[in-house]
Amino acid sequence: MGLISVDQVKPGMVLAEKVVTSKRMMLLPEGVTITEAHLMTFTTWGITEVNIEGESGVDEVGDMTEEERAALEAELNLIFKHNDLAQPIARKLFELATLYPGKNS
Amino acid sequence: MNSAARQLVDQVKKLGTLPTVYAKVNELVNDPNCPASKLGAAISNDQVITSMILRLVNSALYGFPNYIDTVTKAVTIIGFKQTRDLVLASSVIDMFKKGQAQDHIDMEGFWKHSIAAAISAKALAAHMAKSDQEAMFTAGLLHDIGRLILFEFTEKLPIKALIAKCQEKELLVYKSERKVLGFTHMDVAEALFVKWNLPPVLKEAAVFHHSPMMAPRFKEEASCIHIADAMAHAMQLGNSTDAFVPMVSQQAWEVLGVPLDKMGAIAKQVKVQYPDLIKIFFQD
Repeated sequence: MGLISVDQVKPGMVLAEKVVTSKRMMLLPEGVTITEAHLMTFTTWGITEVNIEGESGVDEVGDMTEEERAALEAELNLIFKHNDLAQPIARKLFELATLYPGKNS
Repeated sequence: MNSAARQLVDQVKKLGTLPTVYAKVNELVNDPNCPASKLGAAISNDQVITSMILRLVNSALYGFPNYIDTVTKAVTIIGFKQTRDLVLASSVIDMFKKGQAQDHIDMEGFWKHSIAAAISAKALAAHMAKSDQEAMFTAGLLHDIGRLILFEFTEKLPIKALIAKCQEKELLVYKSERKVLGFTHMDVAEALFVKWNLPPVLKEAAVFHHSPMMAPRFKEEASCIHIADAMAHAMQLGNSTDAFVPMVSQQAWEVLGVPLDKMGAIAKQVKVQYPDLIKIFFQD
């Protein structure tokens, strides 16, 4: 049992603790088996981590090839050229841009 | 206020006044004795705005388990002031859908950028101590409206040359505006917000989105839009006409008081809600 990031929560896992929003509204009670719909609910409400029974999940593997990732990073280096990536928030935005690229959408 | 920017705003006829429903809603929201049903009824007089509000509250932005079928229900769930802010967002969306600036600007890209900033701002606000998610959604949607207004004047002002030059020299458009035009898209937004008599929080959040620490009263809100705008640029959602991520202020980030490790979930939330909002915005 442990607090794990919602990114690593998979359907079938069981909640060890109830899930509440930042405004203390209860979304799910403990003991519930997670479904795909619940994952969507967590995302919608901005839930970052939940307490899960048993073992924790593994990191998701990105679906980009090495070349695609290199091309994206090169492009991001260009569009971030006016930012100092030594600053934590700029660095974080850069990281998120590699994880959630929205090019052409 | 910049007088050249004010003159510009005064020349755009369609920006003359907000729909009458906004004024009515604003009046009712300021009346502490007004019941939700009265506010709902006032909004329901405007079919376009009603339909947009219902689409928004039934979207992935809220993820409510049951379908909300009346504006009155929406009012009781999200709140009075919050509904007023969504009425404003819906009014402006409708106003610009009928606009003409399409020839000179990638309108779809522009609104996609604005929507991405709006969703990001709402998601960030959910983690802020002092926050109004709907106000931040609306401010996010409107933060670049000054750029859109500038595009109404491509004949008279060297907007296209400015953008082309910035792209060629890899510069930020918003930083060159004052030198080339004599004012910025923030000045234009300020003129519009004053003309429309919008709440100060929305005005400051939009006007100071590139200089949040200069906001006199609403630094948190201006910082929220500042970071949301940067997120939309970083995640490459839409096209603000600036090709580069604006200079992100670490100080502004710290004003929000949101832990850095929440950003992953916030970005994911934006990524999930974005396609749904795009669908709502561009439908019919």
